Amino acid sequence: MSIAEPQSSEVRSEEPFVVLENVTRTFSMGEVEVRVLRGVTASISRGRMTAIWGESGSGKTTLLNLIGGIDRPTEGRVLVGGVNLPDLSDRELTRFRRDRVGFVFQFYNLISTLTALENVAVAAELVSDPMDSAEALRLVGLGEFGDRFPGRLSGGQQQRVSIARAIAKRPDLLLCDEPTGALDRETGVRVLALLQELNEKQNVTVVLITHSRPVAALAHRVLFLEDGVVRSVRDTEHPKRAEDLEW
Amino acid sequence: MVSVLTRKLLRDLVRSRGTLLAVTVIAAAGSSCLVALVSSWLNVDRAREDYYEAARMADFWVDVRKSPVEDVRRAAARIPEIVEVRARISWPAVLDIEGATAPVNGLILSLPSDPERALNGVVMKSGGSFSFGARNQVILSDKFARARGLRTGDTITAVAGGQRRSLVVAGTADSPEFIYLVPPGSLSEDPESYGVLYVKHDFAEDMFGFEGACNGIVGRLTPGGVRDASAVLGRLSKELAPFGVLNAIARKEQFSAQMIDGELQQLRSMAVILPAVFFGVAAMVLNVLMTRLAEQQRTVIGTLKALGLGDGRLSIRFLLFGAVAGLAGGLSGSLAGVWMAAGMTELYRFYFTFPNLSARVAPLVIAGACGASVLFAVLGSLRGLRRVLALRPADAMRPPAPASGRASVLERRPALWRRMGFRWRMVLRGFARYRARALIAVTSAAFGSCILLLAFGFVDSIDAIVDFQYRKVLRSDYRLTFGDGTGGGALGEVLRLPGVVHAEPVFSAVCTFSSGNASKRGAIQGIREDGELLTPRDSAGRIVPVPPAGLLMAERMAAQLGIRAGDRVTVTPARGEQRPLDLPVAHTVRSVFGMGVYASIDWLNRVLGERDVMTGAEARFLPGADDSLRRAFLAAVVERPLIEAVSDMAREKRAMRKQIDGALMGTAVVMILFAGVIFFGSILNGTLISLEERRREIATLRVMGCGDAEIGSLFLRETLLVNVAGTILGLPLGLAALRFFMTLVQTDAFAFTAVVRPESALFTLLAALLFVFACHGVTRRVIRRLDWRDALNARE
Repeated sequence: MSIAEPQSSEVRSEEPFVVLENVTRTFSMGEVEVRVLRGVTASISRGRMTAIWGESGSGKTTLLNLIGGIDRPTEGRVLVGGVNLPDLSDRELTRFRRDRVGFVFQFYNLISTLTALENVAVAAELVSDPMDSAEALRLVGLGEFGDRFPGRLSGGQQQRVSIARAIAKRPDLLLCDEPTGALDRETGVRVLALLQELNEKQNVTVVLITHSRPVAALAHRVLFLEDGVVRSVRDTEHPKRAEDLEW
Repeated sequence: MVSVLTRKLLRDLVRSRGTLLAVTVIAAAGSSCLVALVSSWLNVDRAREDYYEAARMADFWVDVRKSPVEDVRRAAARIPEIVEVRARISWPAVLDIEGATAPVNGLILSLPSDPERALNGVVMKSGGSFSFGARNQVILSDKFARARGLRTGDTITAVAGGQRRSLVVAGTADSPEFIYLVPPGSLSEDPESYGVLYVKHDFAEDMFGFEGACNGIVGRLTPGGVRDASAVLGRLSKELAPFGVLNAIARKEQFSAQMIDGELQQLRSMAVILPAVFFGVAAMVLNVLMTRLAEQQRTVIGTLKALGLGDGRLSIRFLLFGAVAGLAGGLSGSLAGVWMAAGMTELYRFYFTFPNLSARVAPLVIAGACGASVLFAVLGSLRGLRRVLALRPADAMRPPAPASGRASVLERRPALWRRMGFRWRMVLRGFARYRARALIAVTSAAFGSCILLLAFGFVDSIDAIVDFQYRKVLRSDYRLTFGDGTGGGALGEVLRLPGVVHAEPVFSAVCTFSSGNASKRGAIQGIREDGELLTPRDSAGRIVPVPPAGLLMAERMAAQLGIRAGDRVTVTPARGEQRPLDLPVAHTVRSVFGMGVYASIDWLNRVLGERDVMTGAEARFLPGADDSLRRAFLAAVVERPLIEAVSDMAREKRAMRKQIDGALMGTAVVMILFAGVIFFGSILNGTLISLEERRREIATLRVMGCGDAEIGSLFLRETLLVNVAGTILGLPLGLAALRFFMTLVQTDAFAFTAVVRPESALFTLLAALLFVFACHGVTRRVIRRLDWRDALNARE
């Protein structure tokens, strides 16, 4: 088991929103068992931006999937808002994702047969009190592009649509898996600035997965993951601004 | 050693087993139809030919009035194409069976003392042939004897020609002349109520007072004569004219032969059309699969090309993929076809009496089915192959251009479009993007719907005929047939029969109609103008009044004679002086049953120079009468020498129903199952491919919180839309196919009209929906089991 203590002194004490207790995840690849997470214990505070930082294969995405209720741990507890996700049935997990979680993927995962606005509306239609889809698009700076199909948007624009889709549900938790992984620097900065703004102004709890150290520096808390174990946790009250990023 | 490419091919086949299975099943349906239908056709055809040859089936039949045998022989001898004739005596008979509540009729036919070697001879099934010395022996048609439980040594009483005779059963036999035996005027067999009674010729001469005379000849023709049978029969009829020719038909017009010909023709047409539909759908479905495969494997194909693999080898591997599906369908379908052929043969054995009808399946037929299946599979793979060949290695190794959304035509109607949820929009734009695929799905559904409607339509059409004939046209309870023209006093005798409450006379005058060069043998039915029991109707079921003067002629007969209402037609009656008469055609009528010609019975008597002649009567029985009254009625009928035959219309209708329920329902069920195969195959193939292509979309929706049902509903909308559209488009296609099949079974006597009840169109739609929802169950299962997490972070 790995218990990583916060290394920074700039820690604001808050009730954790996501708590991971001794989480392991093992995948069976034919005859070989691969232990991707090996006893992760960590917490994520409400309204903060947390980065899970690590190299490829360190288990970042697996951890994000567990927090988002896409996957179940082999062992351990994943508490979100006090609810242990592994205890939920598949149907309850679907409900949980629908009502509480917004996802942003590296490759945007937009539905190619729907326009930008309709892609946002898909998510909005799923919940009872959504944000207006056009408003969500305006928030990400794409108010004018609502009737465009994803194929006619740039990568950065697509990722912003993907973020608008995620926030339109007014989620408690915004999970972003390498959101800038497929973008150039300039576009990446715009997307990250947007996430930072959403976190600060809309008070959305953001969990960001990245393999880039500078990107991780945008977060209030950085969980450094290596070989399926949280090696370190760094907290700060004054993360870097996206506009100041260099990578 | 298996090459790497072959190993790749095998792995690809295993990976695509779900979608390939869909194609295989449709191809298998095609092969099974081909094997079963072609084999049944060959088997029935062979059995018929063997039977005709072995039992010396005649090439022609001529019915004459009582004529001297020697004169008839001499007349026939003057026609060089006639190589052999046999004079015979035939007479309708009523059997007196004690306690029977339904009439039993028979046809007495004379046979020479060596009946097995005679023209139109018999094949003994039980007992023995006529024995020397014994006179009143009878050989019964085997099916009739079995249905009535009659055995060798039993005695039956037949009333015919005003004579009442006891006959001792010598044995039972089949004859090529009556492979399909139905009571006169009926379409369905009823072995319990109708059979053939073969008696010795000299006994018949004696019984009917026909010493040295006959009332019919059967004969064989030279091969040239067979080819030109109608001309030969025309000349023979002229030679026999002095004796009064009632009927002259070639083998192809003989009822039993005609029914078998019709059946064979249907089998032949079905053997072409049904497999072609299945193979066509299989090829279309495979086309979608192979085009998708070419897209999916573009990088692999590009790499192989870059490595130096030539187009030839690549093409062979690619086509082999499709051919394997075709071959698998061909082989599995052939196995099913062998089983189906056995079932069909069994059905034919039940309705047709062949001595040797075996369920053989020739290896060549199986090879042909497999070959056809592979051929269609290869054809279905060609579009995919073209994509493979057009792919340049450099392009192939780059990822394909991202799929772009395309506006659907409905978006031009914003009011409608805005009301649609995102699921409908996805579905409609998906169609806009994959137009060819949507078109194929719609076409497949149309074929499925066509087969469904065909199945329901067959039942409807036959139902309509039964209903039309027995509820509308023939409204009597009993039809009585008299001897050779009886005076009007006979009607009073009918009215005096126990239980008869109303009766109407019928005068059926056999004659030849001619106009210009066209000539047609038939009969004029003289009926009462105000008759209730026999009422001519048009095809819409409306009563067509019989004109007080002139003929009411079926349109088909008029068309064959090249005349119209208002024209005149030459009518040469077979009875009396046979003087040609020039009669007016007052009206024509489009009728369900072919070639009827009606006239007022009084007018007909007048123009034929007769007075109150009738050849039969239609009788209405006391409603709700019990069996004892029916027994009394039948007992009285057999006591009346003038009555030669009595038909129970309700029983005829029941017999027809039974036959329909037996054979037709079975066929309909098989056809519905086949339609199901098309729907299932097409839907599952389309859905599985779509699921594969949209894994990421599904995964994304899953992550967003959509459940199985919500994701499944996307696919359900898609399949519903194409299949409902296809089913609706398939309805007119089915109607056209039904009309075509109905023309195949059309004869001069019976013209079948294709009838589809509105409910059947609804049933077709409901059945299609049933298939769609059943497939949706499978789709939901696949969605539930789909490993969508992997797809989340994959690059498109």
